[in-house]
Amino acid sequence: MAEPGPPGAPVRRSTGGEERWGRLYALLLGALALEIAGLWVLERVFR
Amino acid sequence: MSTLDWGVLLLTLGGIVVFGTWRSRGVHTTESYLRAGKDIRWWTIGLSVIATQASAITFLSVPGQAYQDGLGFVQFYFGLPIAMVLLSAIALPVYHRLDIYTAYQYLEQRFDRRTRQFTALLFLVSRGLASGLAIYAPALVLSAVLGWPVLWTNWALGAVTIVYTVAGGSRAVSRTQTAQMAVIFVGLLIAFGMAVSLFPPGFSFGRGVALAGALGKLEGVDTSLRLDTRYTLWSGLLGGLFVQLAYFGTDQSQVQRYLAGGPLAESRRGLLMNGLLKVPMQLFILFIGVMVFVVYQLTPPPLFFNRAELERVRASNPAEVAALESRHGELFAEKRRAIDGWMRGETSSAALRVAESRVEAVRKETGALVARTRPGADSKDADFIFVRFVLDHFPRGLIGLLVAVILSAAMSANSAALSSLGATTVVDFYRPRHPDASDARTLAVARGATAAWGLVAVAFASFASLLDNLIQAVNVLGSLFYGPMLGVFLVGFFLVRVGGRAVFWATVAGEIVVLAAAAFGHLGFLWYNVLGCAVVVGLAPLLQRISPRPSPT
Repeated sequence: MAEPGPPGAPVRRSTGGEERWGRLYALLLGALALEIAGLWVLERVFR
Repeated sequence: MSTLDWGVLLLTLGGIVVFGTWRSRGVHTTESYLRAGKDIRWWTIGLSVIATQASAITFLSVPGQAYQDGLGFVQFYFGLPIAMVLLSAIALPVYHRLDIYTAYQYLEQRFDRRTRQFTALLFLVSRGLASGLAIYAPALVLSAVLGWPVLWTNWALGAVTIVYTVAGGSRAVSRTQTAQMAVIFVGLLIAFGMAVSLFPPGFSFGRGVALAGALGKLEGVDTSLRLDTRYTLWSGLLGGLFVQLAYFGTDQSQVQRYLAGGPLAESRRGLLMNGLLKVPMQLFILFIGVMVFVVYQLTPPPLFFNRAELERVRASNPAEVAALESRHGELFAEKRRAIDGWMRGETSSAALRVAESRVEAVRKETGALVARTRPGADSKDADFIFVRFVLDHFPRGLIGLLVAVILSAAMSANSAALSSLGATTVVDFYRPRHPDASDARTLAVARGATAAWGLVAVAFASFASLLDNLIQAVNVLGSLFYGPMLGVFLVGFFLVRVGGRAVFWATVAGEIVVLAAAAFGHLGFLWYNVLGCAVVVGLAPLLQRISPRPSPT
């Protein structure tokens, strides 16, 4: 979670909760990569 | 439309409005009106964020786009999941820590009030005008379909949205959007099922997909590095990321949606849900367009999908229209024979494409005839493909439901826009001038501002017919302002030494450069976003160095 800091400063985060979010982010980007790959394959199969 | 269709349409839309108003009863404070009380759960936030972006234009234009160009448009959304991750990790924690109502409040805390209000003004101008176009686009199509004057459909679309948005504020918007998205998802599934069910007996779904592939409609990923191709993998990942960051990170119509969640985790989950669903959803809508294309390979398509316009041309030019229709029919029969040959393995895909391009050439010729006969009329009919398909092929009752889908999308996007315009007017302009105003007074002003913006949007929609190309206008309008808006936020997040004075003048310069490029240059409008942002991010540190002032950090 975000820690208090001055308004303009980059946000510092604690590690525990953020690791879980990091895994979710990786999953989401992985899903995007799979979708792109799937489309690429679909086009070549039915060309 | 039949009486049954009208019944389904009015029941669906009326039900949604009653549901939203009922679920948002008890809005008596500015907090609950502008921020939905900060108790909206993540799935409502996710649906609300998706519904805000999915305007009626999405459902009118996107299937038509797939009909013409295949799946390639989906690449525009490839940057979206990446933008959701970056916003969740960087912008959301800042917005939540500062406990703000609008994104522009952050700018006063980071820079100064002048920068906040200038950026808020850019938002009000761009979103206010875009709301007018977002009402006009579906109103125009509906007027062609229903035969009503466009002024009536403008007001019919605008008035209902204004009433429930003014009454229930942000809470009504979010609650209503969940019901609207449910109708939209059901409608899309039915549209897909109907398209496939129209394949002739013996022609399977798999064959339909194969035919679409043979005719080049499944080309969803273009890995070429060509800069003159609008949608490629790279322009989607890089340019798309840029546009989506600006839209979701700095446009209050979206920021207001995800700030309605109480804890940071709810907002984050809502944004990630959007990141996960958006690409498959757009792909599905495009795929419906591809299936409509397949239907019209097997059964004769209309010569021109905007029937009302074609009839006007026929009235003054009957012989030419009849000749085009006759040639269109002959070429279609020829193509149909080629498809039969392709199914037996006797005709190549290349020959099939030639036969298809001949039929398409006649449609284009018809568009040229429309332009020649009626200067100023819309000579492109792509936006009418899906709605024409629905009206020609759907059974009674389902036509009303599909029109309800289009109107739901229009209402959901516009209600979010109106609510955010009202919120920005009150929070960024009224409150700073009247810090001692009571909550009841501020709430009344917020309702008044939301209503006023609604009237401005409908009034602008009434004049929108003066614009040449509507969809183009919507895109260009956003791109005129998003670059500098994203630039000022990026400077705020990452260039901590830059102060308010430097970033303000850099933003003004960025906006002038973009407007000058639009007026005098030949740059593609998507590049305005990059240009405006680059000027602000590049110029602000320079100005800070030339004229250093103590920065707030």
